[in-house]
Amino acid sequence: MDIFEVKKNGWLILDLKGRMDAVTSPLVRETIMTDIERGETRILLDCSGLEYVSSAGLRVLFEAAYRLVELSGRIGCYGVNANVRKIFNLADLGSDIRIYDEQEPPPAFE
Amino acid sequence: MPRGSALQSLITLFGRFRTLITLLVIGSLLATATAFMVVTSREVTRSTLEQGDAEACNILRVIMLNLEDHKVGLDFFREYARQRHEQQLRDLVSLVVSQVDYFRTLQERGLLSGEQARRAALETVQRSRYGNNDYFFIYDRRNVAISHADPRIRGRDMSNAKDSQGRPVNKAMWEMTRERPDGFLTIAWTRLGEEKPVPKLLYFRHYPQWDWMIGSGVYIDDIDRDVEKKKAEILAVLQQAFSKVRVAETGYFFLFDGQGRILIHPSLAHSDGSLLRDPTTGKQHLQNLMNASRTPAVPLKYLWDKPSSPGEYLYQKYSHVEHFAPFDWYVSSSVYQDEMERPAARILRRQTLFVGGILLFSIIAVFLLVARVTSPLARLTCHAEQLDTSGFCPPESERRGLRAIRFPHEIAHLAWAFLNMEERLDEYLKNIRETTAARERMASELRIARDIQMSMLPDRQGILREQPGIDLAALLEPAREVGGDLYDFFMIAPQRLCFLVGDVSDKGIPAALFMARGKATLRSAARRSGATPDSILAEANRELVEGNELMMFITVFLGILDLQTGELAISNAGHVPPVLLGGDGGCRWLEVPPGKPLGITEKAMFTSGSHCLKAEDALLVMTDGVTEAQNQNDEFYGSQRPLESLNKREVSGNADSVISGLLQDVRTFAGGAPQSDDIAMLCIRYRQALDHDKT
Repeated sequence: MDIFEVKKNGWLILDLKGRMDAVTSPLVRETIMTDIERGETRILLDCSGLEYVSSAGLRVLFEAAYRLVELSGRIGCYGVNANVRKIFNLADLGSDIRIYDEQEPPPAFE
Repeated sequence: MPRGSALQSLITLFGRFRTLITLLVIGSLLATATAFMVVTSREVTRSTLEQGDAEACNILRVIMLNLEDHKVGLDFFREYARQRHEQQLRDLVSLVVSQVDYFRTLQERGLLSGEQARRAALETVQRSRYGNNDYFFIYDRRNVAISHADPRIRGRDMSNAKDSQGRPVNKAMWEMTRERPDGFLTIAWTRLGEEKPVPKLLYFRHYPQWDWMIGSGVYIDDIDRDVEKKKAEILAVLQQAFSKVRVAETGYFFLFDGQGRILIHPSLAHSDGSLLRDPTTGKQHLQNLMNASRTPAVPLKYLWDKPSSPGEYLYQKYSHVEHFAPFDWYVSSSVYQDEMERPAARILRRQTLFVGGILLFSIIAVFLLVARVTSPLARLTCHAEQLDTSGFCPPESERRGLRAIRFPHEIAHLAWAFLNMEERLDEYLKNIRETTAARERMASELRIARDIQMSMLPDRQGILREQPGIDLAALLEPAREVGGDLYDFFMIAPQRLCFLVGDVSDKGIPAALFMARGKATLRSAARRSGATPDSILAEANRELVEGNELMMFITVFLGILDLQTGELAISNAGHVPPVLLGGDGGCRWLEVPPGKPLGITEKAMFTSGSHCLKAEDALLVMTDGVTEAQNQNDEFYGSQRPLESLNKREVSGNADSVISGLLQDVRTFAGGAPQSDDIAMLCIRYRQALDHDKT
C-alpha cells in the first residue's frame, strides 16, 4: 500500500495505491487521521490505484467520513474501479463519502 | 577400526594449536642448531687442521733457518781452520827460505862455494820436520825433487807428477809463481801408508836466486774431520731440539740425508730408511718424501700406523719436507691428521654442550610458553563446552577464573568478549523464555477463546430434529484461531426461522470480541422486535453504535423463512449477497437491498426484501472470505467462480455437500496460499412444508 499526498485547490488529495486490507488499513487510518488532526478538512481520495478494500478498509473510510462530519469537513473519492465500487455500494458508503464517477479530480468539486 | 581411530587421534593431536606451535618452534630450533653445528663443525675442523698444518710448516721453517745458521758457523769454522793451516805453512816455509838464504849469503861472502852452499841448504831443509812428520820440498827448474822427505821421490823428475784427481801439481806451481812470489794449492794426495787420497794444502815459494821452488804441504783432512765432528754436534743439538718439539700431540720432526740414512728420528734413528715403504703404493717412503721436498708448503699425505696399533696402516699422516742442500739433509714433519683435528673435536664438544643446553632451555621455555598461551584457550573452550550443560549460567567462580586471564592479551580479550556475550545471551535467553511463556499463554488463551467462540455457534442438530422442513448446514473457518465471522439461526416464532451470517470488520481477537457482542445483540434484537428483518437490523445497529469508539462494524445478511409457505423476508447490512440454488439446478446471486454495516451510524436505514422459496430451493449465505479468497497470483476467487462451482453440484445433494463442495473449490483455487480472511457459510435448503403437515 502506497499513499501519496498532494494539495490542490484547497483540497488534500490522497492517492491510494494497492490493497486496503487488515494489514495495510492501519497505515491509511494513521495517515488520514493525522491529516485531519492537522486541520485538513477537505479530503479527496484518488482510488484509481486502489485494487481492493476489505471490511477493515471500509471501517477506516467510515471512521474518516464521520470524523469529518463532526468537523464540518468534506470527503470524496474518484477513480473507483468496478470491484471496489461494488463493495462501496454494498456497504452504502455513498451516503457518507461522495463518490464521483470521474477518473480525474473533479474540477467543479466544492 | 583401530588403525583408523589411531590415525584420527594422530590427526587430532597434530591438528592441535598447541602441538603445531610446539613442533614448529622446536623444529626450527633443532634445524637451526643442527645447521649451525654442521657448518661450524666443518669450519672448525678445517681451520684447526689448517692451523696444525701451518704450525708444522712454521716449525719446519724455523728448523731450516737454524740449519742455515749452523751452516754459516761451519763455513766460518772451515775457513778459519784453513787460514790457520795457511798461516802455519807460510810461516814455516818463510823460515826455511830464510835458512836457504843464509846459506846463499855464506856463499856470497865467499865462505862457501856455490855448490857447498846449495848442498848445505838442501840438507838442512831435508832434515827439517814439523807437526805430524810434515816436511818441506824443493824442486829445481827442471822439476827434479832436489829435496824431499820421501826417498822414492828425492832426485826424481816430477814434471809430470799428478795428484789423485789427475791434476799436474808441479806445472801448476810454476804457473802460479810466474807473477807472484808464492801460492797455495789444494791437491788430493795419498798419505804415506794409506790408500785413500785425502786433501792436502800446498804452500810454495819461488826462490829466484837459485830458481828453486820451496814449499810444504799439510794434509787438511783434519778440517773435514773437524767439520764432520761439528756436524755430528749439530745433529746432537738438533736431536735434542727435535725431541722437545711436538706438533699436535705426537707429531714430530725427523731428519734423513740424501743417501737415505735416517739421522734423527724418535724411534728409527740410524736405521736404513730404504726399508720404509708406503703401505698403499709400496714405493720407497723416503723417496716420496724427497720428491715432496720440492713443494715444502704442500704436505705429503699418506696412511700410516700408530704406535698403539702397529701394522694397521689406517691413519692419515701429513708430512712437510724441506731439503737442506749444503748438507744434503732432508727435514720432515710427521703428524697424524686426527691429532691435528682433536682440538676441533674438543671445541665442538664444548660447543655441542653449550648449544644443547640453550636448545634444552629453549624447548622448555617453548613448552611453558605454549602451555601458558593455550591453557587459557583450553579453559575457554572447556567453559564454552559446559555452557550448554550449565544452562548458559555457569557458576560465578568459573567466570571469575576466565576474567582473571591476563596473558596473552588476545585471549584475555577473547575471554572478556566471551563473558560479555554470555551475559547478553543470558539476558536474551531470559527474554526469550519470558516471550515464549507469554506466547504460550496467549496461544492457550486463544485456544480457549476459539473453543468459546465455537461453542457460541447454534446447535444444528436440534433445529434439524425439530424442523424436518429444512435441511441446514453451516461452517465457520477463522483465518486465525478466532475470527470475526459469525452465523446464527433460531426460531423466532413457530414456523419462522431467523438466520443470519455476519462479518466483523478486521480479524483476530478484536473482531472476535465484537463478533460476540454482535451475535448477542442480534439475537436479543430478533427476540424483541422479531417482526421484520429490517427492524431487527435497525434495533441491533442502534445498540452496536453505542460505545463503539473504534467504529468497528458488522456486515450482516439476515433472513426470516416461513417454513410453511417458503416465504423468505431478507434484509442486508453491507453484506455479500447470498446465492440462490434453485431446485431445478440453476443458481444465481440473490438481489439484496442496500444497507450500511451495523455499528457505524444510528442514522443507518435498512429495508426488507422478499422472495419465495420453492421446494428443494436452497439459499447459500457466505462471507467475503469466500469471494475474496486469493491464490498465489493474488487473484480473487471472485463472484463468478462460486456460481460455476455450485452449478456442477449434485442437485439432490444436501446442504452439507453444498458447503463442503464450495469450500473444496475455494481451497483448490487458493492452492498453497494461506487463508487471508475468515470464512463463514450457511446453507438452508427448503423442503416442502406439506411434508411437515403430513407427519
